[in-house]
Amino acid sequence: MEPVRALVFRFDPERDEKPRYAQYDVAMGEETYVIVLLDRIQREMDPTLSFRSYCCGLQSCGSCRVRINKKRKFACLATVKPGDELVIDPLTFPEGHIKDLVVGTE
Amino acid sequence: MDALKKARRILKSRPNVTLLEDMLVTRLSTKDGCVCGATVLDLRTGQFFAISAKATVLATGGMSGELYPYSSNNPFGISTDAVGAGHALACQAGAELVDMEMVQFVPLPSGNRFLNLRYFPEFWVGPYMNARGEIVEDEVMGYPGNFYSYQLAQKLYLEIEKGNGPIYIDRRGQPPPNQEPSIQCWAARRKLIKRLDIDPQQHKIEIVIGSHFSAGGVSINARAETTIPGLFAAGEVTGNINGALRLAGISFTQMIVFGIEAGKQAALFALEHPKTTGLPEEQAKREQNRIASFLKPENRVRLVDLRRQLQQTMEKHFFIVRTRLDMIAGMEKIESIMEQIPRITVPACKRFNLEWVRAIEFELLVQVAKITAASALAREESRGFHKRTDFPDEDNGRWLVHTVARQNEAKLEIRPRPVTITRLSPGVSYGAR
Repeated sequence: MEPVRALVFRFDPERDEKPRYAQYDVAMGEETYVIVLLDRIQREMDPTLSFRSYCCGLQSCGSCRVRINKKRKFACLATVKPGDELVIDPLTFPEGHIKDLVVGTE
Repeated sequence: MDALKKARRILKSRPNVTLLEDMLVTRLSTKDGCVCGATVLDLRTGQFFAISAKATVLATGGMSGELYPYSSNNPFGISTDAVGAGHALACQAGAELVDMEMVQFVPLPSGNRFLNLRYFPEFWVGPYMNARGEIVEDEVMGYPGNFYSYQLAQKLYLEIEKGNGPIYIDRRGQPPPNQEPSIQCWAARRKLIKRLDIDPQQHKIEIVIGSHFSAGGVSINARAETTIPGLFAAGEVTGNINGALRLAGISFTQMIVFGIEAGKQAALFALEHPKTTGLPEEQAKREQNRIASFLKPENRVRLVDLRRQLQQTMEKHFFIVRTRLDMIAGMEKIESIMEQIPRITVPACKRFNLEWVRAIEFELLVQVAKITAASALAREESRGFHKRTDFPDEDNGRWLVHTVARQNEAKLEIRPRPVTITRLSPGVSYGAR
């Protein structure tokens, strides 16, 4: 089965000069949600990735919101399937940006 | 969720309230047997500091979601951040925990796309069928506690153990379940399951047994006081409210009724104790060193592997049906996981270091696993959520008691405490069936 190819915005203002995209090819057995993809990347491939991993699973709290292919989406209910390519950006940058996909709660 | 958002807005608008967000409490500070504050990691900066407090309220949620591989409160296996932290923090501070062996298990729709959709009538009323297409249970509402009944979950589990799994919910050709009362989010979810093409009215849906709720927890009284002065608690972190069973909707009472009470009592306590005692500096220093030691470059143990080991251990040894020798073997595995925690490898960055958060929380979770295991081993009977094959019957002669767990120096002590009986008599069935 073809992997999902994710280009994920990476920037730690304390350590990096400028933002970059990290490419992750993730083997996903079936269609799933973007938050599952991010969790898989962080836990199994790259523990340095930061994103808001809390998930109410109900498309209600808004904690997981990111931009997927430039569109604002809830990562908990945006689906991704094997073979997909997607670009994941923080909801805002540079306003409120903290690290990688994490922005402030204000 | 809307209520939480509103509460947050109100708090933020009050000039005399400082709301600290993205903070991880790593330990409660104690002085002279009272809780006097906490040590905290600021996730946004990676700074460590101590907060002194006249009164402290635990509202950290349950622990069962992270303990087991499948859980209704971890949508898609992703944590809701309820990782048992409050249970472990309270225990370290010397507070009593009760009935930690009482973990509720329920049937869950299996697979990534279903787990978050459990809270929905189509997914819980059945009928439940085995792999051969035979009905295992189609009278779910006849149980006391209906779809929340331990009998249902245990029956489905035993059917799988007999080799007749997997179990399915099959509602094809059935009239839709009663849609009253009309709940707004259910209507939205009905649209969603149609869009995702996972409607149990249209498809056979495989189910797994997963954890749902911690019926035990930090011991509180009716004033939401724990057994340690200055420490209050509300919500799923608390015990003494459910015992060996619980009914649907009780968590809301636990959260709201006891949340208000905990807030009131904490405020009164703060008024009566107007001087903060000052934080014991050596505790904070020791804690800072402990947290920082996760960042040592020579650490080699992967958190993801230890977490998987813990969940597999809990599912194999402390699941819905338990037995003595199996539990003893499980406790040895938990000890071996605990020993590896100081060697968990964490990248050395300060800002929003998710792996660091997860490592700190994991240590607390393993402590909770240990308390759950010891409590389960101690109760030598079957009662409600706690089912043992070596002690299959309820034993009101010996075990009409709470299981109390308390950390005494390095030793975890488990002892019984008689229950207070008011209106209902033990041994009498009050529900249907």
